[in-house]
Amino acid sequence: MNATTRGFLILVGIVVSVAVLCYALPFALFGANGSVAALPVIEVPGEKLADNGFPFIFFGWDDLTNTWVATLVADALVIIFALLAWNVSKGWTNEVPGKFQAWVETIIDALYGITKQMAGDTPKVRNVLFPLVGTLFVFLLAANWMSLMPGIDTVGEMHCAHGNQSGYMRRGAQLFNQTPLNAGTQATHDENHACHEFLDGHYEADSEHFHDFEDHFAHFVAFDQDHDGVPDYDADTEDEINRISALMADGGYPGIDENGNDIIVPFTAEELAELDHEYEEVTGFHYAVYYPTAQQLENGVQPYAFVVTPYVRPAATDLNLTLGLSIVAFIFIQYFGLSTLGPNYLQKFVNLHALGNIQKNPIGGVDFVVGIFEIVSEFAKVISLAFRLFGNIFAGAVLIFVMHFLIATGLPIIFFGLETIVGFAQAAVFAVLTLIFCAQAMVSHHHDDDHEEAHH
Amino acid sequence: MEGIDVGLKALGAGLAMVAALGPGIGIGLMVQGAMQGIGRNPDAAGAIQTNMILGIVFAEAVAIYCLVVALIILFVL
Repeated sequence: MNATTRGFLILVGIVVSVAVLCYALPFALFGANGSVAALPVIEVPGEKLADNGFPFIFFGWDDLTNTWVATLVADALVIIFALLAWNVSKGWTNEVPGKFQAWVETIIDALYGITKQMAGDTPKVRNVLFPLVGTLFVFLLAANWMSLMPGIDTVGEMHCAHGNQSGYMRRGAQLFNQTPLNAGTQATHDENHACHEFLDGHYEADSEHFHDFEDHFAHFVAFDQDHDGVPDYDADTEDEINRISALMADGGYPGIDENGNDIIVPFTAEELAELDHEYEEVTGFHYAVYYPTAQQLENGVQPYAFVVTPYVRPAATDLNLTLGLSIVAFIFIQYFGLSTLGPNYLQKFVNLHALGNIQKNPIGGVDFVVGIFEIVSEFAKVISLAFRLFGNIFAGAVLIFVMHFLIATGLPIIFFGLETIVGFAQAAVFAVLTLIFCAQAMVSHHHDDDHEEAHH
Repeated sequence: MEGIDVGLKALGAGLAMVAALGPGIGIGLMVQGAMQGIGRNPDAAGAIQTNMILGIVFAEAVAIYCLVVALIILFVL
């Protein structure tokens, strides 16, 4: 077999797997099965555990979110990693490192090398700055890469869609979606209420009731759809009822265009309201969004808007975590500045030295104004660190959601690769920027001026 | 008027992301400079790369602000 033949076979293999993964599976097979990938609810604030029917509430404190759970998991991962490394290396006394120890030492060496290069090799850098930077990096790496694990951001509590959330019908533990690229139907507050009543057992969505309704409805639409006073369809035969209910599932009633072809005329708002009323009379509960077929109801599909709130959502997709971390970084920056330079550190912000020399050196007054800007830039560091991390990781999560929604299998793998890189880069960037800001804070800005003074 | 709401939101988010143009150009210029520097002086590649990535991160931050604004328009407002 020469290279060209082999290349041809590889090409055929690629084409077949793309056809199966990117078309046959997500569109044809999943569609027939009702398990087409659904678009998850995208919310910027972390979802509160208590609001979304979670089975546990932490000591009665109901403000906790699913991103907080992810923070705890990431913490646990880092602690397990550290304990494991400590254990394997026998408290860092193991002279000949094994595979795992060598790997951990490579990471630590790299981090320590950067720290030394940027901030020097003083005891303070070794004992305070290096552990801070290392912890930030390892924690953020764990938190960011966690979002690539199966089950994170996907497995969660299924509950009725709140008002204005887009949801899908439900079948068992799964959202029921037959149409590819269907972004769900927006629920209203009324529907949320009806859904809760349904779940509490006030209504029953059994198919027997529904068959009654179908008969009723078939007469209702068939009796006089175009309001011309003439019955358009004789809906007495079972076939006709089935046909009409199938058309009804598409959100319209059967009609005939000028060429005599069957078409579906969409329901008007008034007709929907009337239909809803009819439905409620027959089945005891109402819905205005979904028109499931009797077959679907027999298979256990529940005709309300449901959404999934994940148990664990990547920690850095919550601004609380990133802002908290950058405030910690801010406090450490000020600590390093103050403890290294003493009160003179504050001259960076309120430059009394330049102000005092203003009659000798009027241009030095600019330094005083620059100092005021330094205050702003100090707070801008907090905002910039927080939003950079949040923006990157949140956008990554949305990207993966949307790619799974567009094509469920195959294609998203590429974006998992991208997110692996982004997760690593953002962890490294946060840690290294903290390092650089701390290193900058430890360097005095006034050497030149002091020199000048000594000359005079 | 639900439809107009959604349309204006989408338009706003799209317009917010137009501002990613600036950081894109900035990052391009930065990498151009760094590549030229490395081409002239390959020994300095390490130091140039570190500083290049640092500069890229700062320029990228502006694009990320746009992204955050767009995300807030789409999913919070």
